[in-house]
Amino acid sequence: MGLKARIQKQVRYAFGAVGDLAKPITLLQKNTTEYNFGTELPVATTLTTTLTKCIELQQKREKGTENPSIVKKVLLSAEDISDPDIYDKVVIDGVTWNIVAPYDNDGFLITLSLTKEA
Amino acid sequence: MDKYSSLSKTIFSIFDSALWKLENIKTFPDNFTQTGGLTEFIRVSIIPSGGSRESTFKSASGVLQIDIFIVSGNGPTQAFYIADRLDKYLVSTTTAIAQKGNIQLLQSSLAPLGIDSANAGLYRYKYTIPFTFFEV
Repeated sequence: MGLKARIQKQVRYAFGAVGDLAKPITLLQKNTTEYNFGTELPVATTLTTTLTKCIELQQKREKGTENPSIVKKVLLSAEDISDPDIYDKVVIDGVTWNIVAPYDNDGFLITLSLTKEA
Repeated sequence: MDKYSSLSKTIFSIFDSALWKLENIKTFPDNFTQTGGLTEFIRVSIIPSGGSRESTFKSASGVLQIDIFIVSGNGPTQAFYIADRLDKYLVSTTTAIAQKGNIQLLQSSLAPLGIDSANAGLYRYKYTIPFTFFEV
């Protein structure tokens, strides 16, 4: 087994070992590559729904801005999802979150930053 | 329709036209995130300034700013080509459309802005063209 496969196996093992700390997360991915100047809306196609597990790292309310929002960071296995973008959303515990920057993928783990309106 | 919405619809209608689409230049407005990994596209920003609004006459002037993104490192030729295509549809024309808006676009200018701060694989030019807009 190569080193990459061994690390991926350990990531899978870790997500299993943390028990209920790994929460179900649904990723709703849209393919948004066009803008329609007639309707004045982004053109979204190919809605892909992926159900996997995430580990919540942090949740806080941003301060010092005029529009404070609740920000959450979650950790996912990189082999479970394809790279998301700002038009995608996730659902955790029935609550829908927007994906925002920064987004990190080290090849094995993905750290997603999420916001919801206050 | 209100002034800013009408202005936006009038300018967007140019980029929604069949002729512009035939140019095959990917075109987006500001506050749209291009996620397709494109190496060439333009981004349209409407910057209104002065104007008036009376009961029967609305007007605005301002600048239409279009950021042209091309592949970094290949020289300016493609940016000039795209600017020429924009000139063909925009410069010194008065466009009257179904929304009863009329816009006159004046002389354009083009300036290099350097490598894009968000994507070093792209080089950015700023194409600007002043406009006056009125709606009766």
